[in-house]
Amino acid sequence: MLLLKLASRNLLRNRRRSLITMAAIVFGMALMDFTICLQHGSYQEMIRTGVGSLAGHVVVQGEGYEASGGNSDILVTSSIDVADQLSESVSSSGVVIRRDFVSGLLSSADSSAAVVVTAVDPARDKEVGKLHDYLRDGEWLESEGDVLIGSVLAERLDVDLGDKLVFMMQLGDEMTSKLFRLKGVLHSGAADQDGLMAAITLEGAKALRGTDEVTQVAMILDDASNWPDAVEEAKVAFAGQSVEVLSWKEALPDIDAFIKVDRGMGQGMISILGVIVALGVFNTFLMSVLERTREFGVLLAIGTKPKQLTQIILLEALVLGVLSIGLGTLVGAALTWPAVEYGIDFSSQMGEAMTSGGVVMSAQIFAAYNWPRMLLFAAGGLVLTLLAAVWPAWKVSKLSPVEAMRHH
Amino acid sequence: MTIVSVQGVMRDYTQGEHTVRALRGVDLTVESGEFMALMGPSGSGKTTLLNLIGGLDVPTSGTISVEDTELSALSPGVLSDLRRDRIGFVFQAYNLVPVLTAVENTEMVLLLQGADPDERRARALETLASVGLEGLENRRPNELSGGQQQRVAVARAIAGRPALVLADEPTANLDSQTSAELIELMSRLNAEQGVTFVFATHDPRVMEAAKRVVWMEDGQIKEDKTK
Repeated sequence: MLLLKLASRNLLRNRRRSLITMAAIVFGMALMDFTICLQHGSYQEMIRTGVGSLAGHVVVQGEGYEASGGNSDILVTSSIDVADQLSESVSSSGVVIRRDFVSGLLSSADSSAAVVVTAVDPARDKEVGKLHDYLRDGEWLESEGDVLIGSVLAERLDVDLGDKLVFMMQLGDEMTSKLFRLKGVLHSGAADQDGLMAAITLEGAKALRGTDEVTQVAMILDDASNWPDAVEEAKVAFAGQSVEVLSWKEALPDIDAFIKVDRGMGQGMISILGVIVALGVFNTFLMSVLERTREFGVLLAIGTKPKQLTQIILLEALVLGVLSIGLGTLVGAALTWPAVEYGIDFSSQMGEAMTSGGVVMSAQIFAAYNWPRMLLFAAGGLVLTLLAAVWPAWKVSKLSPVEAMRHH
Repeated sequence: MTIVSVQGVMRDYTQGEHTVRALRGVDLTVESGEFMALMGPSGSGKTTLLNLIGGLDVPTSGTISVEDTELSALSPGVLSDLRRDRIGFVFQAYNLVPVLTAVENTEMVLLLQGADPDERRARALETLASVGLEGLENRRPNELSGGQQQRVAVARAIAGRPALVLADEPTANLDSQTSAELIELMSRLNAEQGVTFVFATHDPRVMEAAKRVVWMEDGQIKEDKTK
C-alpha cells in the first residue's frame, strides 16, 4: 500500500508533465473508441442493408448459383419446403424469406432500360427487408402486377405512378415477358442503385417463370450475432440436398472484404496512434527516472531491492495507465454518444448516399458502441503503457547506489 | 562484540586512463556500542570507507565483515537485506523521499523489512517521538527545517533497529545550534539504545562528542584515538 501511495504521489510531483501525458492517453483512447464505434456502426448498417436487400444471415441457394455469379436460371427447387426446413433447422429466432433475383429489360412506352428485379414476399420483406425503407412515392407491393422502380430509372423511362411497364427476361432459350403497373418509386439516394433497381412480388415472378422456384431462400436473424451457429445448423440440415448454404459473409463477399480492409486500415491508424502515445509515456517515465536517480540511490542504500524499484516504476505506469485509460474510455463513450443517437451527416462529402461493397450506405452514419472491442483496446492501451515503462524500470534496477547518489 | 572488521582494504577508481587510489590498505575494527568519528581532509577516503562498510561499494582488495558476515561473499540481493536489517544510513543532504511524509519516510525501512502496517506505523511514530519530532509526523520534507529533516533521516536510520548507523557528514548542512542538537540526539541514542554510530565528518563538534576518533589522510588511517 505504501508503494502504491509512493507511486501515486510520484506521479503528482511533476503535475504538469503527468497531466500532459494523461491528456495524451485520454485523447488517444477517446479518439480510438470513437473511431471503433463509428466503424462498428457503419459496418452494422452495411451488413443490415446487405442482408435486408440482397441476402440473409443464412442463405440457401441452388447449387452453383454463387460460383455462376448469380445465374438466375439456377433455382432452389421446392423453395416453400426449403423455407420451412430452414426455419425449423435453425434454433435462433428470425424471419425466413424467399427472394428471386432476375435480370432483364424493362420498357415503358417511351424507353427501355436494363434492370435487376428483386421479387419479394411483400408482407415479410416489409418486416425485415430494406426495400420498403426506400419507398418514396406510391405504395408498397401488393399484387402480382405491381412493380416498384428506382427514382433515376423512373425518370429515364419517363413513367409516373400507374403507368404500364413491360418486363422481359430470358428463360432458358426463350424470352418471356409480363406487363406490370408502376405502384411506387424507390429512392435510396445512390444514383447507380436508383437507376438499376426494381421490385415485384413473388407472385409476379411466378407468373414470369411459371414456377414457385426462386433464386434464394434466406433467414434474417433477430440477433445477428447468432449467425455462425445458425449457418452451421442449416448446413447440417441441408447436407446432401442440391442446394448451397452460405453465411452472409459468403453471400456478400464484397461487403465482407470491404469491412476487413476498412477495419485493417482503421487498426493500422490506431496502432500508429498507440505508438505515438506510448512514446510520450516512455519519455515521461525516462525523464521521471533520470530526475530521481539520486533518490533511487538512497532507496537502494537503505535496503530497497532493485526489483522493488522496478515495481515502483511499473506501479506508477499502472496508476497512470488505469486512470488515463479509464478516463479516456469514458470520454470516448461520451463523445460517441451523439453519433450513436443522432448519427453524423456525411452528405457534404458523399452526397445523399453511396454504394459501398455493393450496398447502399446512407450519408447519415450512426455509430454503435462496441464494448468488447473498446475493452480489448483499453487492455491493449494498458499493456502498451506498462511496456513503455519497462525500459526505464529496468534501467533503475541496474543503478549502483554509490553512483546514483552522486547524481545531481 | 565486533560489529565491523576491515582488513587490508584498498579501493581504486579508474577515471579514463588514470587510476586513483582512494584507500591504501585500511585496517579497522568497530565494536558494538561505539560512537566513532572518521575525520580527515576532503579526499582522505572517509566517505569511501563508509560506503564500503555499508556494502554500497566493493573494495578492490581486502575484506570487510559486518557482524562476522564477509560482504564480498554476498549477492546483491543479500547485501540489500543486510543494509535493510542491520545498517542505517544518514546522509549529508538528508535525502528523504520528498513525496512521503515524515512518518512515511520513517516507515519505509520497516515496510522493506516486511513489518505489518499497524506495527510499522506505531514504531515509526515512536521513533519520530524519540528524535523529538512529535506533532510533525504528517509533514512532508519541504515543510520541515533542515534540522528537522535530518532528524527524520536519523529516525529512518534507526527505525529498523540496525546494529550500526553510518552517517556521512550529517551536520554539514546545518547551522551550529541545530548541529549541536543533532549530535546530542545521536549521542543520547547511542547511550540509551546502544546504537553504534560511525561518522565521516569534518565537524569538530562531532569529534568532541565522539568516544573514538580515527584520523585519515591519503586513504590511510594515520591516527586512532579512543577517549
